[in-house]
Amino acid sequence: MSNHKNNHYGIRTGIISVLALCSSSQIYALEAYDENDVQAPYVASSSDSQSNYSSSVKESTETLSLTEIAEERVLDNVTVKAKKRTNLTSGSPMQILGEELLSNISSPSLSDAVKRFSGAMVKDYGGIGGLKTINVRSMGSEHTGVCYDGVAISNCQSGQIDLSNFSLNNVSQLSLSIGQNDDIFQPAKVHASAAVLFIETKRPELSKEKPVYMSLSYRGGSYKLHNPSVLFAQRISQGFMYSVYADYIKSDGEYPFTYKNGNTLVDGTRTNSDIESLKSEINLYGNIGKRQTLNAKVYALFSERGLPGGIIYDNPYSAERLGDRNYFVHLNYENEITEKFSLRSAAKANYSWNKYTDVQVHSTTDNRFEQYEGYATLSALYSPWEALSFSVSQDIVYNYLESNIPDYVYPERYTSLSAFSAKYSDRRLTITATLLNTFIKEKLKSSNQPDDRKRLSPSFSISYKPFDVTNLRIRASYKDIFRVPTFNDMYYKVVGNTSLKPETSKQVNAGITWIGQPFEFMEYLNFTADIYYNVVDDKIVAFPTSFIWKMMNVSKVKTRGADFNVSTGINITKHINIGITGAYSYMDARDKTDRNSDLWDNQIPYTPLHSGNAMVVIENPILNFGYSLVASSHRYSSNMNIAQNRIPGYYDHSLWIDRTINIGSHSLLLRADAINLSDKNYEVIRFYPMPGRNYRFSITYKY
Amino acid sequence: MNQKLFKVMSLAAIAATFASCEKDEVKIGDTSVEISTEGAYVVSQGNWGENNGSLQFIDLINKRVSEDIFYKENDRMIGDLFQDICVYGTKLYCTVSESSKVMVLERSGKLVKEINLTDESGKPVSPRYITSYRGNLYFTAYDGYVHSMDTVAYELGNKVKVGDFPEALTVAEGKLFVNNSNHYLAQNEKNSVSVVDLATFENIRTIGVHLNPYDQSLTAADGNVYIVCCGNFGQNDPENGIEPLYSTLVKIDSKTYQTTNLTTASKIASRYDLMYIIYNDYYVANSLSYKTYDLSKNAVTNENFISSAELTDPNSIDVDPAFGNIYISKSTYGSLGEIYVYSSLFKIQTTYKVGYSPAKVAFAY
Repeated sequence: MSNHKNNHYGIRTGIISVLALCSSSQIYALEAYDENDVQAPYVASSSDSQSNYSSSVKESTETLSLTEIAEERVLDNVTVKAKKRTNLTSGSPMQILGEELLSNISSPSLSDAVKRFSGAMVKDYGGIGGLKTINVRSMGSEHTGVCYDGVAISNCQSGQIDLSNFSLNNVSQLSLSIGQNDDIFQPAKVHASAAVLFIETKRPELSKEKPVYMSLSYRGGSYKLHNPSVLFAQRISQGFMYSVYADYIKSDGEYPFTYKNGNTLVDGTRTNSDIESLKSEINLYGNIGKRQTLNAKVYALFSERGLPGGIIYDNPYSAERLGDRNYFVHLNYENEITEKFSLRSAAKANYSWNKYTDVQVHSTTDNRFEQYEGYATLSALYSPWEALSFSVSQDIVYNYLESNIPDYVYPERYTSLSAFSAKYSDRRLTITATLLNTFIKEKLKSSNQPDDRKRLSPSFSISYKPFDVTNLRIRASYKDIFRVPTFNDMYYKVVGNTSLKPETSKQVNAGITWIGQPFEFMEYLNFTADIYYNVVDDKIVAFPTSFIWKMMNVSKVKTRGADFNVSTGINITKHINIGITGAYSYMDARDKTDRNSDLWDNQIPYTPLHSGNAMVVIENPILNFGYSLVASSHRYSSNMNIAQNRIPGYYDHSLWIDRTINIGSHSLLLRADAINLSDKNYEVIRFYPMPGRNYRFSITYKY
Repeated sequence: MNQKLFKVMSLAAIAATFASCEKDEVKIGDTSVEISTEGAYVVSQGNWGENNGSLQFIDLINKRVSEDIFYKENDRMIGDLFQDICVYGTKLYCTVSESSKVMVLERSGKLVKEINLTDESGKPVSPRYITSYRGNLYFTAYDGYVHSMDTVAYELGNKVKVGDFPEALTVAEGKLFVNNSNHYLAQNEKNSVSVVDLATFENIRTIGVHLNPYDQSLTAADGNVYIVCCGNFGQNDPENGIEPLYSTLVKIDSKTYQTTNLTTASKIASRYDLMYIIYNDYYVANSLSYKTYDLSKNAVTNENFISSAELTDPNSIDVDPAFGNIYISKSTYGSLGEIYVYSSLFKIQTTYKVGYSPAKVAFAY
């Protein structure tokens, strides 16, 4: 083991260069070495097995193998693949879905992967085109930030990121960080949300010997789904490569459902649920010398879809449509100036356009919104000693929203985020603390300007490994953060309210993580358990007052919960492996607004007390087999916990088989999925029945 | 090893058999209340998009409220946004706005006929408020028409064009007075009252009124029409050139069509010469008040017949034409509604738990 340790320090410089290639999140790879003593045994076995189940061990194992080839890679930096993080040393919950696990989720939408995170609910309005937003630990969608290849994605209009706008085909790693983020070398924006979903896209490994990569895939299935995609990458020169990705989806989305109005059966077909979208991006990855990296991305999204709306009894009419265009460019630059001092900066320009139309008997609606965003961040990391580091990060954001709605106020928002962080980390102990300062100024076309907003938000975390003999870690964290009212909250016609306060969230988390090899037949066993308590106050809701509805800061929610994750890999023979992952969440989220109200202590809408998921994958040389389950206990669609508002619990079972055929450096993956086997049109959102049993098949060619 | 595999598979199988078979049931009110003419129907509109409108009956003798009688009699919910009810003859006539239908019910709540309302191209027309006159029903709809329906075959008859978003309506002097609201999508005939002659069923006049006549319209004992125009809810923003226009009770002389703004008001009910008023303007702080206005004296006679602290979040007011009790509905965010009953001397009598967003109490006699 000491050998590994030497390795660790010996090639550290090399590693940092490697890390610097990628987004700042790779700093985790470095931390993974603390766990080397446990990981060592698995190196051999994992090299045999084709796949692993996103377990941290695998993550770490790969990091370990990274150390061995690091120097070689530094020579030709183009080839670096390292996109691994570990949740083991993290002081607050960090769940990771690596490429191998993601490859087991055959879905055109990222949301089906996000459902695998414990503590995260996806608000799924059904169908491929349906809106899908993430709600972590019942704090609300607006509290979860989304970071795409190291740069934050935002929606100043509604505050919610629609996960159906991201393709899973192109994602190599998905991770969810809840509360304080351990990685202090991050843009300030990463610290500015209660939880952050990190999306890392695929970046093929290229070398002089293999300068070109190509992946062509086609997925088809029920409801006339067609989903071709292509990823092409080429090495340009020593240190530089580019990739091009495109993903097209078309589906008519018309699925039959059965639904009951009381005891009367409502049979129907989901209509106006079609989607057509094209996502494309071009990436440039470059290394300038050994210490500098420059990545650039150009992204474009076109999407056109029907919004079927909820079931309205006796009125099946639906004509709402939504069109989206989104273009952005971002640049990421990192420079490890000295061994003790690093800089990273990023800049982004974003334009998004959406068009909502509806045709009703009395009028035709055509609302258009255009969002402009400019974003720049600069972070510095200073590590005076091995174990101690400090960082400072400054972000500037500009948002502007335009609309064709008459008398619109054309809001502009200037946001300054400054984060100061410190971190101490040795083999046993990791402590991080961050102080975030937010300053927001808004300008309207009209003369009434909302007040400036200022706020200091502290957060900290600690992770401790008490014993040498076992790889158990104890962790605790605290975060105090808020979300500002969105432009819709403040300026939407009639209901908008300019005097809204920010909605605050406070989170406390304590947990343990453990990884080991308790039995000979197990490749590894990884377990995390967390309990948490969070309070969301001044919650912004549409509230009826004096006979009209307004956005108001009214409610308060306290949540007590627990999240458990377990994963294991079992080698039955040299060629047959079983991977199992499971997650369970307990979420007791109560309305604590007014003690005298009927709603006091009621479970808040759309939070199940129990939810979980499981996946079993059996791999063998002939045919791989997978089973997946997503389950939830009952929820309430409205604030009052009465039978009328109760949405029954559900189990969603899926099965798949796949087979990879390798011929030289070409490979062909064939796969078939059966989804929602029990064929129940269960509801995630009330009156939005999910599709019943449906099928998909896919074929992927890789070179 | 195989044992482990077996265990894993059995666990998966067990999970698979746990198919859920829970049932939703609707339980508000008393299941043993009998329908009679000594009572009143409570319209609870329900929350938009939640298909939870409901119809209950209050037994005035025993002071009990029934469960949802529509659900009880028909095994299904009445629909989305149960807007209005008209008790006429032996039947109940209901408009369900988002479900876009008119329903004819027995007084028990049993469905007699349901008419789904769409235009020629299948677009829902969203019926709104309904009233009766000499063997016919008349209801407004968001297609900009007042529709008629007979009480024999329950067939739709002629329709007459009014404003783009017509709302409450009332009959006086053989004419329909229809509020044309200031809906933000309205292009034509807003902020006015259309007058439809019921003898010819023609739109004979448009009367300009205070901003945004909406859901309150009644014919008082003096034979004149009284409506509420919501104004701009009292918004006062001089920097942007916005002057406050308060929610106002407007009298329309049913013969001369002369209009008079009387006093601030949001919801109204009337018996004899007295107008019972709830006033609450969103932009006017602490404006909630319950007052009476005497139509013969042209004056507010009681500024606070109930204190605003006693009853918050009122949603509607109705008065019992026979006994003079006052029924005020309360709709608090997220909670089921309640009906507060006061005597004509403003003493609290009783309260009833009802459905979401109660909006009307219609008397059965």
